Amino acid sequence: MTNSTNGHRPYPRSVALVRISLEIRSGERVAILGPSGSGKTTLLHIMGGVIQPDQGSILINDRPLGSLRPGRELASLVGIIHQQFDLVPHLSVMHNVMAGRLGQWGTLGCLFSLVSPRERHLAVDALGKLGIADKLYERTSRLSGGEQQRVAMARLLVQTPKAILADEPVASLDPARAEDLMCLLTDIARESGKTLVTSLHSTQLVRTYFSRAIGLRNGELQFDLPVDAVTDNMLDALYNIAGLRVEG
Amino acid sequence: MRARPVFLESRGLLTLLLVGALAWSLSAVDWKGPLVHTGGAGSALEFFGALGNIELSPSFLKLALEACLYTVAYAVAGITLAIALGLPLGIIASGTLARSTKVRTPVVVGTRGFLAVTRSIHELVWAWLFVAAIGISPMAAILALAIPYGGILGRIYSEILNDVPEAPLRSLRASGASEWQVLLYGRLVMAIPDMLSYSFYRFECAIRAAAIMSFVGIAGLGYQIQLSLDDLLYGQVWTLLLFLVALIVLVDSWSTVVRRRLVA
Repeated sequence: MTNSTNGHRPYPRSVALVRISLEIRSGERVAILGPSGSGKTTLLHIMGGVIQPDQGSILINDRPLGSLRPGRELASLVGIIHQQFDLVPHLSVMHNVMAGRLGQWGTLGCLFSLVSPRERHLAVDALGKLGIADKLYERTSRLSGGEQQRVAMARLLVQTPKAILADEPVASLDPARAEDLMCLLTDIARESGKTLVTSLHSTQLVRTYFSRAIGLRNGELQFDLPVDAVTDNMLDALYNIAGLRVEG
Repeated sequence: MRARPVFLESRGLLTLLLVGALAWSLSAVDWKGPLVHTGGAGSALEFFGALGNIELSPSFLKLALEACLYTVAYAVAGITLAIALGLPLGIIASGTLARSTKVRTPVVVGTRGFLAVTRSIHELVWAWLFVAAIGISPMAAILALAIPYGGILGRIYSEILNDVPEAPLRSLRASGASEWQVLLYGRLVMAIPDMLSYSFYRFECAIRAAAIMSFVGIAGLGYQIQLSLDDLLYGQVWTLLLFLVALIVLVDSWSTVVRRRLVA
């Protein structure tokens, strides 16, 4: 699987990226690092086809992203998980998980499923894998942040994309739950040989669960290295606030 | 902070305009003459005095209950038709199904314009128009309710649909959902509690409106109130007004119960 981006983007409320070229191989686990506003979300959104770059192109399996039909075709290749506010809070957990199948259903099928969910066993299996099978009929808004993140992952399991793009999936969780969730996410990716691209801030998680790290700052690529080759100095430089010196 | 002349801000300007309008309207009052109709105090006293003399005979209560049923029936028919009109028009006016702005802009502007025309004419004026066109019949009252209410509901539905948070919709799209599926599975699901509570509020309004449709000759609370007023039977008027209040309170608590079940 190839993702190469070479674009910049003056888009309202998203950070402009400057000429970034990447190639991500199938099954790779890549972490995107960088301070807030460095363009991590923009990069993930461009890779997932959520927004279009003004210049440059994205190739998935050597096919331009624009030539893939949005919906069914794109959804079977790339799945996205966000930090939060990702689910429909009014629906039951099961309905949110089954949303991963919307690409396979017609409009009428989707309407029927709201009344009587189809392919229920898929949701049961996925939630079981994530350890929250008992929440099947719960209203999604009643779940904790960590549980909601698991529901979003269960939706990805049902969607079965070849690559998972995760935008700070653990940012709103405490360290223990963050570790737990990251472990689950990488397990899922490893088991089925999925590609995983995640933006996150914890360098400790990056070193434990990822093979490659990409550093972004002000929309520019700072480094793109195997995780072992990333030094503390490089991270300090990446997160350093211009003009602020910490001494002691 | 940057200092800005307050009177240039639109809010300040609006306040000034409104205060000016009030002052102007006060200047139009003839302060020297009597402000209240001389016989008014006596009539008002008589009317409120009848509060201690409310008509509660079984035969009149039966009559009032029957009038209530008529009023509710017209209101239910009117609001049902209004929802049937307002829902599709509201979805179209929200512009959420159109893919390109080339299609969206004319469709949204056209639908909004149509909705504006239907609701800018008051239901009583519609009633008058329909009575002129098809004669005094329940159908005239129902259509007169349904058309402006459909316009109001359509307008509000379109705004509620537009105000739904985008993030869950974006991830539905990323899961492969089409725009129709996003509408059904996300947008409507999130909008329904607000749409429902606004529709209930409109149902209350429809009951009040149906009650005063008596002037086009349809049966109901308003018709009975008019008859009792003509005979100066204020005790009966109070009974009928209390029935109207009870109806509104009933609808209000029904809406609270339904909404509580939908919103967690």
